[in-house]
Amino acid sequence: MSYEDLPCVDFVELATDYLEGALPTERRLIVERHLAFCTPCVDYLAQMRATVRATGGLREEDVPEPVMESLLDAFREFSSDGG
Amino acid sequence: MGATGSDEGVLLARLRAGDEAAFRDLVSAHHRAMRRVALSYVQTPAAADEVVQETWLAVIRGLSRFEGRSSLKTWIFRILVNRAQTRGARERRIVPFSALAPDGDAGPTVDPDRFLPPGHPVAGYWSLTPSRFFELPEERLLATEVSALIAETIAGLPERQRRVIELRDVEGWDAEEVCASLRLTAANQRVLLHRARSAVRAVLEDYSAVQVVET
Repeated sequence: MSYEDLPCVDFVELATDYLEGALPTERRLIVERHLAFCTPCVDYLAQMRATVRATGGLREEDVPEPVMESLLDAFREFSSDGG
Repeated sequence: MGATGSDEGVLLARLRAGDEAAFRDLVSAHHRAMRRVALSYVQTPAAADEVVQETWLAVIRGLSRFEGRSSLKTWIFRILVNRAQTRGARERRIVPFSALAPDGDAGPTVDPDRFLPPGHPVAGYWSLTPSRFFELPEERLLATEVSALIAETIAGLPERQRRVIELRDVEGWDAEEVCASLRLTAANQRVLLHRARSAVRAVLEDYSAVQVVET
């Protein structure tokens, strides 16, 4: 394996395409060969996955109660009309 | 359709029967994402709120006619996008979201100083290797302070990057759903996602480095 195939500086720009499964086979194999030999790039990929998990922590289920109430009113009204 | 199909069937039956808890769940599941999508078509938060409100009314009225040929979510967002687009055209949003300038879609996403320079025998390899902040316990990664930092970073991103990462990584949508609602090509969506995630990654790496020094 020659590292010139894919230096780390180029690997990092392919990381999302790789995680998304969007790389053509040949390109994917080059990435996987690189990862087999390069611990820092494996760590970089783990950073990206952790970033996605941490960003997912921002998710909230709450809808402002006045908004919810006005929508529920509309839902009730329509349902009781036999809609 | 599989398992989700039958779950949807149950949900739909409850909604049609006027089950308020089911409607509340539906609103909770989609309301914030609807607002985010609407904001990519219209000028102001107030206009986005109106589009979302109109969409919910259309959903309520249309439930009895919904045939289940797509998922409920797909149907809801199709209604939303149509309305938001009409509203956006009427407001004459200066540039449609999908045609916004590539806002920094070029250049490296990792500081070039992190790599060995051209001319070095192993040019392009890491000179300062990535930290292992991913080994932090999950409760540290999801701590309020970290969430606030991520929220601040996302708020500062160019608009298209912000919308994509909000839907993909905050709301947990898949790539196809984001492309359909924001009218992006698959390749474009990935570029925007990559740039947005890279920005958040860099901030998390810096933040965790400071944490290590402090402890």
